[in-house]
Amino acid sequence: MELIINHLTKSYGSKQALQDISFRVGEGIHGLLGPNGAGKTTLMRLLATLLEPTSGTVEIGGVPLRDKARVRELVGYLPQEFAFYPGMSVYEAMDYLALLSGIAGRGERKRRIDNLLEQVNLMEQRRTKVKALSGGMKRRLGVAQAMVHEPKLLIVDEPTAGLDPEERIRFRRLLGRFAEGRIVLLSTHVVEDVESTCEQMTVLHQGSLRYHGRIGDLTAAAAGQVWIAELDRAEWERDRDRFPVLSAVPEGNVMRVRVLAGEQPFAGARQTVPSIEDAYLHLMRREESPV
Amino acid sequence: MMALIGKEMRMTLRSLVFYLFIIASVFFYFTSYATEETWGELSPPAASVTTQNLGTAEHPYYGRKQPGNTTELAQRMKREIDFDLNAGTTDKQRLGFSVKSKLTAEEKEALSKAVSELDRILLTPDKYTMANVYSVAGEIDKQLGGNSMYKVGLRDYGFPIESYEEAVKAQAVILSSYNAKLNAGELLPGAARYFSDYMSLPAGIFPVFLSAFLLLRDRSSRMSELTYSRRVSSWVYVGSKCIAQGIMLSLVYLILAVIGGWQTVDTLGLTGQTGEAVMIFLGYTAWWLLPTLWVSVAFGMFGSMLFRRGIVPIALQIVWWFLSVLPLMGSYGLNRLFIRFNSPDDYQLYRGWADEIALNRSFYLMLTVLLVIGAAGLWERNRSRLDSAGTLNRKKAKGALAAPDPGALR
Repeated sequence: MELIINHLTKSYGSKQALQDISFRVGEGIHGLLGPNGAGKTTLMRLLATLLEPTSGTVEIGGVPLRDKARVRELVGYLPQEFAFYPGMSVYEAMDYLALLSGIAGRGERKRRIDNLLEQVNLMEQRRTKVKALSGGMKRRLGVAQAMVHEPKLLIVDEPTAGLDPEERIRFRRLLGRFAEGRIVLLSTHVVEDVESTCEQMTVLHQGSLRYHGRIGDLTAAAAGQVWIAELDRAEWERDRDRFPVLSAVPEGNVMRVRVLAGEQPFAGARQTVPSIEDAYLHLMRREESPV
Repeated sequence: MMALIGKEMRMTLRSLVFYLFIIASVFFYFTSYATEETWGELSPPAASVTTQNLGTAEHPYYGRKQPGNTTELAQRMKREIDFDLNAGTTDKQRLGFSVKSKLTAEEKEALSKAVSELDRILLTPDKYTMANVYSVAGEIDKQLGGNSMYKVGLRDYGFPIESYEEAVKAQAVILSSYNAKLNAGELLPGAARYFSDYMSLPAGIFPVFLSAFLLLRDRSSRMSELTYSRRVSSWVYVGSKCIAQGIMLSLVYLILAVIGGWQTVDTLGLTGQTGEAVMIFLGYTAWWLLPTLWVSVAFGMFGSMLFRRGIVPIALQIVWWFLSVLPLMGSYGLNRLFIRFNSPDDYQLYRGWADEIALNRSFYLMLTVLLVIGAAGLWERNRSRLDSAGTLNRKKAKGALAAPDPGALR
C-alpha cells in the first residue's frame, strides 16, 4: 500500500493552494504539519475526492484519484469541522455512514460499530444524541466513523483537538493499531502527536512542500541551533527580540529561555538536543526548502 | 438501497415540516372535500334547486341551474360575450388571479365573430352538441391569449331559476341525471375525482418545502464532507432520499384517500360500497395525485442542486402552482402541474379529456425520473467541488478560528 503524489497543484483562481507537490508515503502513520493556509486541508480534501486537482496525479494503492468510486472505497476521512444530522444518536450516525460506505449487512455493521465504539470509549453513549456529546466525544465519534469501512488510507485532520491527555494517549494507541498494513495521514498542530506516533512527516508551507522525510532527519538538521539559558529579567527584556524564542518560562527574577541561534546567543547559553517542535520552527525559519 | 430508504423514511419522521405537511393536507381535506357542500353535491338533488322561493315576490329565486341543452348554453355564452363587448373589457388570469383587461380591436373582432357563430347555432340548435358550443368559447380563449375566463371549464354558464314551474322542471332534470349517474356507477368515481381535485392543491405545493432542503441538509448540518467522501453512488444516495420522501408523502395521501372513500360512503349512506369506494379513491389518488407529489419532490431536489439554494425551487414551484390552479376544469397541457376537475359530475366531459389527462400524468411520471437523474448528476458534480459556492471560504474562516497559528507552537 502506497500513496504517490506527483506534481499535484490546486488553484483557486489566481491563488495556488498547492504548488507542484510530489511525495510518496508508505504504510504506517505519517504526520502532516504546516501553519494555517499551508495547504494541508486542501491536500486532504483532494485525497478524499472532495476537490478536483488542477494538475498532477495521485495514486492510492495503485488506484488513480480520478477513479473516484474506487478511491472512496479506499479512503476514510475525518474532517476538522463536521457534525451530524440533528436528532441522530451515536449508533444511528455510525450506522448511516456505514451504509453509505457500502456495508450492507446489518449484522456486519453492528459488529463493526460496536467494536469501534468500544475502542473509542463511546459504548455507553451509543444511544445518546450526537448533539449532546462533548467536543472530545464528538471527536472520538468522528474518528470511529472514518474507520468504519476499514479504509486503506485514513486521513485525519486535527483528530486530537479537544481530547484530554488520557484520551489522546488512547487515541494514539488506536491509530497505531489501525495503521498496521494501512496508511494513516495525520494532520495536526499538536507536535507531540507526531512525535509519539509518526516515523515520517511532511511539512507544507504556503502550498509548497517544505519537508518530507524521517522525523529524526528533521531534528538532526536543527542540531547545534537550539540553545538554553537562564537570564535575569533585565537581560531578557533587552535581548528578547534578537533571537527566535522557542520558550520563555519565568522563575522568580530569572527567565529560563530556549532560543534558535546559529551561534551562542548569550553568555552562559548552552546547546541542547532539539525537540521536534524546535526542529519544526527551525525549518519554518529557513528561507530555502531542504526538500 | 432498501436499508438506506428505510433510514431516510425514519429521518423524514423527525422532520417538523413533514408534520406541517400532514396538518396542511388534513386541513385541505376537511375544509375543501369533506364539507357540507360536497355532501350536498353528491347527494340526491335537493340543495342546489329548491321548489321554494328563496327570493321575493318581485324577484323570485329558486336556486341556480346549469344549461341543460345547446340553446341554453349558447344563450348564456352569448350574454357573457355581449356583456364584455359592451364593457370593452374582459377578465383574464394573471398568475392565478382574475384581472380586468381592456379588449383590443382584434379581441373585439374575435368576440363579435363568436357571437355570429352562436347566432348560427341558435338558429338550428339540434344540429349541434354542447361540446360544439364549448368549442366556440375555447376558440375565443385562444384568440384572447389562452388565459381568459372563456377557457373551457372556467365558467359554468349557470343561471338563476325564477319560477316555480322552471324549478320543478330543473329538479326533475337533475334527479334524472343523478339517477343516470348512479346507475352508470359514476357517483363514486365522480366523488374520487372531486377529492383528487381538491387534494391536488396541497400536493402541488407543500412537498417542495421538504424536498428543496433534502440534499442541502448535508451542507447545512456540516455533514457534507462525511457523506460526500463515502463510497455510495449518487444514484443510490439521491434516489433513496427521493423514494423515501415520495413514499412518506404518498402514504399521507393514500391514507386520506381511504378516509375519503370511507367517509363518502358513510355520509351518503351507500351501504356495502366501502371497499369499492376505497379502491376507486385509491386509484384516482395514485393516478392523479401521486405524479404531482413525486414530481414536486424531484423538482425540489433538482432545483436545490442546480441553484444550491432551497428557496429558488420553492419560489419556482409557487409560480408553477399559480399557473396550474385555474381553470377549474378542462386544461391539461403539459405545463399543468396538477389535474383540476372541480366537479363530482360531468362524466362526459371527463371522458373527453381522459386522454389529455393520461398524457399529462404520464409526462409528469417521466419528468420525475428525469429530474431525479438530473439531481443525482448535479449532486455528483457538487460532491467534488467543495470549494465552490463559497463553501470553502466559510469553512476556511471557521477553520482559522478553530486551529492555532504557528506562533502557538512557541
